[in-house]
Amino acid sequence: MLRLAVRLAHGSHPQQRLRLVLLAVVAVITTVTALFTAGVLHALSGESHRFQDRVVTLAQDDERVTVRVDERTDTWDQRQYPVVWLDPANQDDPAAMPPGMEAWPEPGGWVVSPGLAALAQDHPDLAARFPGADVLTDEGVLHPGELLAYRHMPDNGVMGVAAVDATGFGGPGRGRAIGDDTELDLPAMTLALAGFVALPLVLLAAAGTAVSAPLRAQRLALLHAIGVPAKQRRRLVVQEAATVFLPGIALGTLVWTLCAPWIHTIPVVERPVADDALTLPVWATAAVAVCLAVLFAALSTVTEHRRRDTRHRATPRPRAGRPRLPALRTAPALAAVALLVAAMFRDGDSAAMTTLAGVVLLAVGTPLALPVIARAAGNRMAGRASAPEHVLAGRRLQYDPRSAVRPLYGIAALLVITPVVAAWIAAARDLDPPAPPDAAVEAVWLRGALDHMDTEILLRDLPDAVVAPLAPGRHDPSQPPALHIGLTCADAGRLLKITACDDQAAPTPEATQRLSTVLNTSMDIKLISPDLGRLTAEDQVAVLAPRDARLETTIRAAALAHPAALNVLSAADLELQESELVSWIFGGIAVLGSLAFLVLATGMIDRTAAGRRESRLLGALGLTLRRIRGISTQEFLLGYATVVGTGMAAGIIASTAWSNLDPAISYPVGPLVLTLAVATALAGFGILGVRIMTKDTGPNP
Amino acid sequence: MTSRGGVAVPAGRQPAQGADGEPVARVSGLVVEIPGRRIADGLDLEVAAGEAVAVMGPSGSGKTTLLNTLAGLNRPAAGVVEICGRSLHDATQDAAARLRLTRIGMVFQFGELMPELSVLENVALPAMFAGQENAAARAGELLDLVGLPGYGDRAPEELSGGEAQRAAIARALVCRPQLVLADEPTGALDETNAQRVTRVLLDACREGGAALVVATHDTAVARAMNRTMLLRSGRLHATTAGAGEPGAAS
Repeated sequence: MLRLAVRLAHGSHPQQRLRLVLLAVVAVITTVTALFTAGVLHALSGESHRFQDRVVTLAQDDERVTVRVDERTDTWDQRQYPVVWLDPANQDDPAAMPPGMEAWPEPGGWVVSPGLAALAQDHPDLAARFPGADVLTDEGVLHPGELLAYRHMPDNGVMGVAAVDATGFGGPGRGRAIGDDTELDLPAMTLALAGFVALPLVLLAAAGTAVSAPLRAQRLALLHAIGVPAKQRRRLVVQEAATVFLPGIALGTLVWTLCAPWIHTIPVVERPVADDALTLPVWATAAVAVCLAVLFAALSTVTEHRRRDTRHRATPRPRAGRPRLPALRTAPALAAVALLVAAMFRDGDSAAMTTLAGVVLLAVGTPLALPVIARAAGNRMAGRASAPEHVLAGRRLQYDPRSAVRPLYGIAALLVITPVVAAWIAAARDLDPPAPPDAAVEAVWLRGALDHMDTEILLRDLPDAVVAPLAPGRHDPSQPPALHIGLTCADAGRLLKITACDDQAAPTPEATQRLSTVLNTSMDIKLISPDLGRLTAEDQVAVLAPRDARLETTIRAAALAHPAALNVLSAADLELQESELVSWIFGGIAVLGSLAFLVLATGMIDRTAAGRRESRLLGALGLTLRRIRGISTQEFLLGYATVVGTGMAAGIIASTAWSNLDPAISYPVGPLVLTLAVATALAGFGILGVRIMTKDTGPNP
Repeated sequence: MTSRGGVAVPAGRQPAQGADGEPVARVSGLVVEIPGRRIADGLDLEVAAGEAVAVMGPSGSGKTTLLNTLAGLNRPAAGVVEICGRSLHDATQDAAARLRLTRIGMVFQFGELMPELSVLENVALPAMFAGQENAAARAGELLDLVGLPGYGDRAPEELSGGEAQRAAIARALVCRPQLVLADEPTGALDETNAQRVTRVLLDACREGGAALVVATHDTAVARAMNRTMLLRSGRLHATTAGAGEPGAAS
């Protein structure tokens, strides 16, 4: 049986050779992609462990405190990162040391992450914030690019009100995490990767195993006719496919095993990973390879089971009519629409979950429904057309809609998902344009241990700067809310370069408006006498200075060097930071798009090759090559238009539902138009492919 | 009617001359090569209008290749091929295709009906592409002629081998060709169906005034033709000037 399978797999028939090449290539690509995806999850899992290992374990009332911890933040190039103050009860106690720190620096000294150290090497201003810093080992950071700094509290240092007592790091009990774990929600990431990567991989594998299916179906029909049992036929099918996909899987595994250790950044997402983080354990690699082998084997039998041969004379004549497509295929899509409609009558989390479920179901259900819709489209075209090319194109689509639209499943899913994702990303980003800054003055804000702040140290390099305490005014319902700023009229006038106050020492309208802009507030402004001596750790101050590109950098460096723990916030911090998930989403879309393109290419090559026989027949009947290409092109366009039209309609429905969730989510008209434009451009590529592949009108079929 | 080899042949069937006496198909000094050997080596053949010619030869002798060359699907290495007075040996692919569509009908061994079209659509297909009006009506008439009345709405896979071959004959005649080329039209049929198909083929060609060239290894089919040629060593050898026995030297 195995020898027969090998002979069949390596036969000289042109379609079999095509299958050999396409299936092997698909197997390699699928394997590398699957191992890469598993590697990403493995890397994130490792990061999650390291994240948990450095969670500050809060001390309960009766527990021994080993270290006091105060997490502050700093910002570099719009990247906010934790700056953690540590005050050990006993430096010799290893429990007091966070992971990655090998020794305590001198009081006031720094230990920074490798990523921060690398950045500081290239940016002296950043290096000035962490003079003489030691570097954490890899155990102390999630990935090489992470920015993190620890400070051994200075001898005369003071922590802020948010400081906590801890028994150590990574222990059981209540804890407080250091840094952001948005990307480390492994169940969510697994689900996202399953949607963006795993499902398209299954489609790609299915496309690969279906190559040259009619030829193999003919053989199976013969075997059936001569009495070979079904079980043996299935075994033969699997063995025949295995002789091709197993070497492909082996090659893909070898390629990934050799390349993984050299990958230090996750492509597309541009996310650094620890050394060897993407390298899977041997058992995991083997498990992925085995799963893929099972998948390919299962898909081989599915495609064989579905196809029935109508050409071989030995098979009994089938009943009248074309292969049935159960209307049940449209059920998931219809159920999805029902869910989306139902979501409109809910609110809050219920609406969001129902909408999300509807969108996911629609993304899966739309491809399932496509053959039914394509058949109807083909029927309509053939019935209404007068030109024979249109009739033939319509009839082809009507006869076998499944193989016509199967290569386009990924594109249909993309058309549904992309507008929704675009709407989500638009909402995740702060798209409101920031107000134009004041030309003369800028401000940064300070929080933390302000009661121990030394303004002389802070403003040593900023002689023209002023520290102004901020406090909301007492609420008087008859008055609009006001922000009280501890700033003299003289200082305000000097900074704003205008007469800042009137005769009653009240700020002029111009001064009020400009100070509101500088301080990023919509409240009314009232100037009060500055009293820095009454500041508490709960307060907030603004440092106002003439506009200077170095203000923020100087203040940050001064604040970090300050013995009291201070947090600096600038205008950049006040703008919403784009979630790191956005880059993952873009990466997922890119992978999905690439795999969808591969599925399309594989399916088109196969379908065109399978159609060569009919092309030869048309040539023998007297059609020119141009007309034959025209028929193939129209057939492709009809199927493609059906897919794009259905996908876009589903995408509009999904994005409408998504936009309804929140007024802040604007309807993604732009992304919809762009998606349609890309889909149209892809059609051009598809037409080119059809025309290139349709070239043979040689002798008889 | 007389009978030769079990196939009824219309009495008095003679190859009709064309209006101007010119042969429908003329081949002179034909040389056709495939990798490794020469299929035709200075082959000559003339087919008069309305004449039925059988080309016999062992498997692999080049019968199909000869028919493909007559149809303009193969370009010869040398020689002249003229169909209905038009040169085919140096015609462009498009010109050859147009000639096939309008002047030549082709019948293949397994019928080769398109599964996605109905029987009627299959028969009408060449006429539709040739832009002929009433293609469907013409196809219906031909289906009646070949003994398949009422089969128009059926799918090809519902037909038996003989029925499919008869539908293919109808398709070959839908554009009123002057020459029909049939490659082993009975090769896949049992004796009864082979006889029936041969009779239908001859009758339909006669009805339409088309010449017929049949590549066959079936002596019964050959006997039904006006003339049988034997393809041997790259050349055609006449065996008889009328419905005769194969094997006799020219």
